Amino acid sequence: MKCQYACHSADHLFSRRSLLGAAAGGAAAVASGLGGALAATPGVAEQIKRKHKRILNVFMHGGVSQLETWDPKPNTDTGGPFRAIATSVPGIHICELLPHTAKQMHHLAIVRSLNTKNQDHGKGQIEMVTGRNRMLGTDYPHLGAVAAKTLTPEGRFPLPGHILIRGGGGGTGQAAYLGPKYAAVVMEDGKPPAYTDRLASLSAEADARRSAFRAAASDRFAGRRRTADTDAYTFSYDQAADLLTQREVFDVAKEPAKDHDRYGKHEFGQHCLLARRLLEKDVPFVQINHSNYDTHFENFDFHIEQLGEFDLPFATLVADLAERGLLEDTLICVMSEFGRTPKINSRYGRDHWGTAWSVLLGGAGIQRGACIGKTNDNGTAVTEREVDHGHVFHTLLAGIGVDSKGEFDIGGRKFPVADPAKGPIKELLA
Amino acid sequence: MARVATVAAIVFYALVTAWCAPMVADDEVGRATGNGTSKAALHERIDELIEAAAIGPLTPVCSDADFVRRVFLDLTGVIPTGGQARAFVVDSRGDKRQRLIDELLASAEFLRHMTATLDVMLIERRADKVVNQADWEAYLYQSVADSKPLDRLFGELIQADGHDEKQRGAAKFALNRDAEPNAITRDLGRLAFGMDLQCCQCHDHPLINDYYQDDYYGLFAFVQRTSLFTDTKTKLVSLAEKADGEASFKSVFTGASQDKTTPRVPKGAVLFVEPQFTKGQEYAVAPAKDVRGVPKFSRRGALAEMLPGSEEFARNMANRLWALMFGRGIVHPLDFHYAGNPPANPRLLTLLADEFSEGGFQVRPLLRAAALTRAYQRTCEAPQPEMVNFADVAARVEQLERNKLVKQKTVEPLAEALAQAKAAFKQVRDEDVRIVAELSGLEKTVAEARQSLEKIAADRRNAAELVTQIEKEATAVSVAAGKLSVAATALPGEKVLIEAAEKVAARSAELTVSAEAARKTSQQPGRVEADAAQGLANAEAALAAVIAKRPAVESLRKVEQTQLAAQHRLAEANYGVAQCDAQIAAAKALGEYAVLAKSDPIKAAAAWSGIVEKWTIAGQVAALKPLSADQFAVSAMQATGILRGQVAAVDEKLEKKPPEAMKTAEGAERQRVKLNLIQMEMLGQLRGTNAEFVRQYGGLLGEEFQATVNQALFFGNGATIDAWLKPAGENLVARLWKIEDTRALVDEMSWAVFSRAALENEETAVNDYLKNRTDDRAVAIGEMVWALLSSSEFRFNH
Repeated sequence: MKCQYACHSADHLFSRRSLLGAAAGGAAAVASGLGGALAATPGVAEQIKRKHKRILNVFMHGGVSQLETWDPKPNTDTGGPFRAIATSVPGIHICELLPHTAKQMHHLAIVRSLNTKNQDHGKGQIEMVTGRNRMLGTDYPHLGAVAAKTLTPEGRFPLPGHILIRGGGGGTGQAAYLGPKYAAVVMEDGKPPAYTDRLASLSAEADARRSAFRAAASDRFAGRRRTADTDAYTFSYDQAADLLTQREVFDVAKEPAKDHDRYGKHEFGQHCLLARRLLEKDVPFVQINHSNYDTHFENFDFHIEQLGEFDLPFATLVADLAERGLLEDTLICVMSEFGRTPKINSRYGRDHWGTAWSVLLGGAGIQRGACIGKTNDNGTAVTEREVDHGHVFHTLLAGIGVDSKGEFDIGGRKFPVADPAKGPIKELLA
Repeated sequence: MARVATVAAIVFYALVTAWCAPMVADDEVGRATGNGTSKAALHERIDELIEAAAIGPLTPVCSDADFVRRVFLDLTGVIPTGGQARAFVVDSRGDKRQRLIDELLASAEFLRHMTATLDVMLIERRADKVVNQADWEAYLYQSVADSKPLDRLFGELIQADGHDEKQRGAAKFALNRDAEPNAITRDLGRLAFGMDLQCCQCHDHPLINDYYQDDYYGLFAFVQRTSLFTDTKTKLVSLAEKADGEASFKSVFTGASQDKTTPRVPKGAVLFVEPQFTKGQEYAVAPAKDVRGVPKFSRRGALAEMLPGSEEFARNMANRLWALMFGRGIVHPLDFHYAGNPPANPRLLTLLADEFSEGGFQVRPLLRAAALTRAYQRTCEAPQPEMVNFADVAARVEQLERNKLVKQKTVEPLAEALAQAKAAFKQVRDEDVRIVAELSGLEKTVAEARQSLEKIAADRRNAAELVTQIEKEATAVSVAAGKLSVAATALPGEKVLIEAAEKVAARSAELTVSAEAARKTSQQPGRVEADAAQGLANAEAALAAVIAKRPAVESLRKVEQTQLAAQHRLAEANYGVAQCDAQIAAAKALGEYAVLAKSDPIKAAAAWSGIVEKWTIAGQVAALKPLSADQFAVSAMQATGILRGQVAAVDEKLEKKPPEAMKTAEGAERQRVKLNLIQMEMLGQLRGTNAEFVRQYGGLLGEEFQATVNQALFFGNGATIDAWLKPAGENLVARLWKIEDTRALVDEMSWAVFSRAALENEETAVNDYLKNRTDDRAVAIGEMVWALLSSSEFRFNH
C-alpha cells in the first residue's frame, strides 16, 4: 500500500544558487606551504594517526512524527494507538515502533523541546541542516560542508569529506561560501560518486603514464612560479590517483554477507552499512536519508511501515559503531524537517508541525542517555528548555570539538561558523 | 570628487618614496593626479604611482607569448588559438601589444566575455527564473556593444520594472531576487557601492566599525516600496512600487532605533527632497487588486539618478574592473571598502575612480589603461634574492617610519575639518528636518481648515438642493389641490373627495411655508463659512512662511558636499598612513629574510614566498591567476580545437539563413554584424559545458581558489574532456596525428595548448612518449594533450 502524501513533499524543490552542484566537492589536504615545508607534508601526517572526528546525519524526509518516535504520549487525546516502551536508559521511554533502537538508548540522547516555528518542507530541510533561519537570496553551508571544512584529516586524505548517500528524499549538500571543495559528493542510490570509474578506454597503466607526463609539465612550470595554489592543484591529481586505488571504499558489496543480512538488503539497510564502511575510513561527514514520513493520511500505518524499516539497521549501526570503538569519535544525529501535529486529522493522519518536536543525538561529545527538554502532557507545546535548529547545529559542532562560536575566514571575508545569535545546548555535551 | 593634490601631500610622498627606484619626481606624480593638467596617459600615471610606492624590485616585462595568452584570457575569456599566438609572437612591430589590446577590446569575443562577466557579477549564478537567461544576456551584450556607461547600466538595473518588454532583461537583477528589498539592499550595497552591509540589517556591523544600521536602512529606503506583481491575465511577473512607506529599524543588540530613515546612498548623499502630492494624486497608476501600482515619484528612480554622483560607486566600479585584469582588487575583498581595509595603493584607486567617473563611466578605456601598464605586462616569474640590495634595508625602514610620522600629522587637522564639516551639515540638516516636521504639522492644519470650509460649503449646497426639492413638491401638491378643489366642487355629494381636497389644500399651504423657510436659510450668507475661509487663508499663510524659511536644496547639497569631501580627504590620509605601514612591513620582511637566509634556508624560502606575495599585491610582479571555471572550460575547448568547430558551425548556419541584420549590412559591416551574432550565439552554446565546469571549479568572481580531488577526477575520468581528445575533423588531436615530424608536432601542440613555442626538453619528452606507440599513436597524442591541459601551466593565467 502506497502512502498518499498530500503535499508531494518528495518532489519539493527549494531554490538555491546552481553554482555548487551535487557532484562537486571532496576532500583534500590543506594546501601545503611552500619550499621546504612542502616536502614534509605527505607521509608524515599518515604516520601520526590522529583520532578523527566524524558526523553521521540521518535525515527522515517528510517530517517524522515525534509521537511515534522519541516523545510518545500514550493514553492521551493526541497519543495515537501505540504504547511507550522502556529503553536501555531507565526512565526514558520511546515509542514501541522502535524496539531495537530502544536497546541502544544508552549510546544516545533525546532533545524533546524543539520549536522551529516552521511548517514548510523546503524551509525545514534547509534550516535543520544549516542551523540558520532561511533568508531569501542567501545560501548557508550544509552541516556536512562545515564538518568537512573543519574535520578533514590533514595530510594525504584522498576521500571526500562530505558524502551524501542519496536515496529517497532530496538534499544537495550545498557548500555555499565554503567553496566546491566542501560540497557534498553524492552517492546516488548508494552507487560510487561520479568520475570514480576510470574510462573504459583508459588502462591504469596509460593513466599512470599520462599522469607522469602531466607532473613533468607542472614541474617545468613550477620552475617559473610556484605558489600555494599551484601546489594544491598538482596535489589534487595525486589525491585523485590515490582515491582510485581506494575506490572499494564506496562498494558496499565488499562488506561480509552476514552483515548484509544483519542490516537488511533493502535500501535503507544497505545505506546504513555503507555509512559504517565510510565512517570506518574516517570520512568526516556522512548523511543518509530515509523517506518518506509525510503522513497526512494513515499516519499510524505508515509509521509502522517506515519505522519498521528504519529501526533495525539504524540500531545495528549504532551498536556496531560502539562495538568497533568508533562511536567515541562519531556523532550521530537523526533529524527531520519538522515533526507532526499532535492533533490527529479526519484521515487518521498527522500534519506538519514545528512547534514541539524532537531530534535524536548520540555518540561523540554527547551526554549518553540524556533527555533534554519537555513537552506538555499531550505534546502540544514545549514546557521546558525550548531550542531550535540553531541550537542543535551548534551542539553538533561543539560535540565534535569545533568552536561553533568561531568564524571562517574565506579569502579575507569573515563568516560565523554557526548562527551567532544561538549557542550549543551545553547540558547535552559530555 | 575629492582630489588630493595638496602641497603637503606631495611633500610627504616625496619623503616616503625618496629611496625607491625607479624614481619619479614626486611633484610630477602629484600633478599627474591633478585636474587634467597632466599630459601623461593614464597608464603612465598608474605606473608612476605603483613604482613610486614599490619596496624592492620590479620584475621585467613578460614575454610576448605570456602576454598574448594573458591579454586574450583577460579581455576575451579564452586563450588564443595556436595561430593567433604564433602570429603575435612573430609580429615585429614595436606597438604590437597596444594594437592587440585595441583589437581585442573592439572584438566580438570581448562582448561575449564581458557579458558573461557581468552576468556572473550581477546574478552570481542564481537559478534562472522569471526573466530568462537569453533575454538577460542579450540585454548585457547590447549594453556592452553600445559602450553603455556603467552608471547607466546600474541605473537601468535599479529602475527597470520589467513591465516594458524592452526593459525585461534589465529587470532580471531585481526579479531574480524576488524583488525582496533586503536581498536587493544587500546586493546593491556590495555590487554598486563595494560595501557588504548585510550584518547591518539587524545591528551595526560587529566587526567593521564604520558599517552602521542606518547605512543599511538608508539604502533600503530606496527599494522597500518595491514588490513583485503578477498580472493575473498574462501571468507576467514585474515590479510594482508604492508611493508611501518609510524605513524604520531597531538594533537587536542595543535596542537603538530610528524612525523613518531618510533614503541615503551608502556613505554618500541624502535624498533631501521628494515631490509631494496631495492624497490620491501620488500615483500615475494607483495600485488596486490586479492593478500594478506606478507612483509618480519612484524612489528607485531617485537612486538611479544619484549613482553618478556617488564617489563610493566610482571607487567600487574602478576597483572591480581593476580586479578583472589583476586578479585582485586594490581594495580586497571587493565587497569590503572601509577604513580598516585600506587600498593597497590609495592614490591609485582614487586616480582610477576619478578618471572613470570623469570619463563617463566607460569600461573599455579603464581596461585598456590597465592592460597597457608595465604593472600588467610584468612577468609572473618570482624575483630572486639576488635582485635585492639588502644592505640598506635598516636605513630604509627608518626612513619609512619617519615618513609615516609626517603623514600621521596630517590626519588630525583633517579629522578636525571633518568634525567641523559634519557639525555644519548636522546643523543645517537638523534645521531642515525640524522645518520639515513643522511643515508636516502645518500641512495637516491647512488640510483640516480646507476640509471644514468644504464641509460648510457642502452644507449650503445641500440646503439649496433641498429648497429646489421642496419647491418642486409644493408646486406638484398645489396643482393637485387645485384639481381636487375643482372636482370637489363638481361633485358636492362625494364626502371623501371633499375631505381629501381639504387635506391636500392644507398640505399645499404647509409646503409653501417650509419652502419659503428653506429658501431663506440657503440664501443667508454664513458667518461660519466666512470664518472658515479666513482660517484656511491663515493656515496657508503660516505654511508659506515656514516654507520660505526652508534652506534651498542647493545650499543643503553644498554643505553636504563639503562634508563628504572632508570625509574622503580624511580617509585618504588614513589610507596613506596604512600604506606606509605596509611598506614598512615589506621592508622589514626583507631584513628578516636576510637574517634567515644565513641561518635557516627552509624558513627563508617560506619567508621569500611571503615577500613575493606582497610584491604581487603591490603590482611589482605579475600575479598567477587561476582561470575561472568558464575560462578553463572554453580555453580547453579552444586548445583542443573544439571551439573553432562550434564557431564554424554557427557561422555556417548564419550564412545559410542570414538574419535581417546581416542581410541589410554589407562588406566589413556585414562581417562585424556576423561576428557579433556568432559570439552572441556562442554564449548560449557554451552554457551547458560551462555549467559542468562551474559545478566542479566554482563560479563566483573573486572566489577563493580551491583545487579538489573531484575536479581532478572529473578532468581525468569525465566523458566531456575525453570526447575532446578523440581525433575528429580538424580538432587538435586529429591535426597532430597527421604530423609525422616530432619537432613540428611538439610545436603545434605547444602553441595550441600553451600559446608558446615548445622547449627543447619537451621535444625529448614527446619523443619518449611516442616511442613504441605507432599502433595507437592517436591515443598517445590524446594522452599527452590531456596531460598538458591538466598541468598547472594551463590551469593558471600567468
